[in-house]
Amino acid sequence: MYGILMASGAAVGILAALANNSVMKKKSLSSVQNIDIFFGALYAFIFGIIGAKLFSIFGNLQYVFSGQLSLMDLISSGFVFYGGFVGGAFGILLYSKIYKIPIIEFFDRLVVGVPIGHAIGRMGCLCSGCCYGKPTDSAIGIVFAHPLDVSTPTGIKLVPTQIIEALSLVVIFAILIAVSHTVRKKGTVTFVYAMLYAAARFVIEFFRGDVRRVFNNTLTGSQIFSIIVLTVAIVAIIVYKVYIFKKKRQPE
Amino acid sequence: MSNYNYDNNSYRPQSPISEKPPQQSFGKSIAGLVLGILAMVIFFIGFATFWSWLAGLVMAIIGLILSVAGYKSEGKNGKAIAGLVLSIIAMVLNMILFISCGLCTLAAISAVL
Repeated sequence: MYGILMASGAAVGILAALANNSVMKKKSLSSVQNIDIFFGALYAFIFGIIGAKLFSIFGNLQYVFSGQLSLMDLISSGFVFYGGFVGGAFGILLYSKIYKIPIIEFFDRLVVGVPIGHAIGRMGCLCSGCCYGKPTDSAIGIVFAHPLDVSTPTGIKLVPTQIIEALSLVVIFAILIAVSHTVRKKGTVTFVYAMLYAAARFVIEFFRGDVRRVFNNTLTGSQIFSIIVLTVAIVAIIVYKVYIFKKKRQPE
Repeated sequence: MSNYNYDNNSYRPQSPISEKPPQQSFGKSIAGLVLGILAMVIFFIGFATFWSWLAGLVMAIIGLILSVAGYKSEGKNGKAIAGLVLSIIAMVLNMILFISCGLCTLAAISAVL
């Protein structure tokens, strides 16, 4: 079910990006061809899968060195979203360099499909029981009876972090659609996605029950990566604004 | 009786029909198609093992990249489109089983750790 939902998420994400680009082309807001959106999305998907797998492998390498895991167990273990994020970005960059597509606009067109595809993939996590939350007594808690992931606690209420993240991603998707049709400045959609997802993930990670925490058991790896992404996005916006300000002040 | 005096040295332009158009190469498209077919074959007869699905996934990915390259550089042609379709289907099928098998392994790993 997890694999099926992941593949479905990818398909829906690609269709969403294509549909949004088609509408934008009719309004003369996009110069990227639909075929390039499709191929770029495939490249992003392929390199996203490779990146997600590599992040998972490097994150669990210590267990191979300690003898607890074999290499095959390591290769066949899970995926890390932020690895997919980095790999996908690399794939889009590679495609735009090879086939000479304007990079920033290309990112803006493709990034629209990422949150909705990710949301569907998160429902796969719900089905398998992975990425679960901390124990809770609240009314929104969910109980796993027979999860595929045997480390998932059974018979007790857990925070439904998979559902919370999926709903957050649907909201982010709606915001990105609105921004792409209203703001003309290139790069805005990509920056908005990066900042919104990093912020959402940072908050949701506090409720995750399946992750290792570092820095005196406070922050998770994904939270640290979220801080990095937020910082880079804010610095990039400031640098860009300063660059534009200086360019306008230069005498003709 | 013909009064024409055919001079064998005079220039006669070749008929356009006899000129052969330059052969277009579809190397990347064909390579992508072949890999897409192989990836599909591996999925169905790869003895249903983890490594066969991984091999099928890798072949499908390479086939997809080559088919995209063929479509973009050699023009819209049937071989590239067929390679794209087969590679995408093979990639999805092999990936679903690779991930599902991986989840079973993840469950077993979690039990050990």
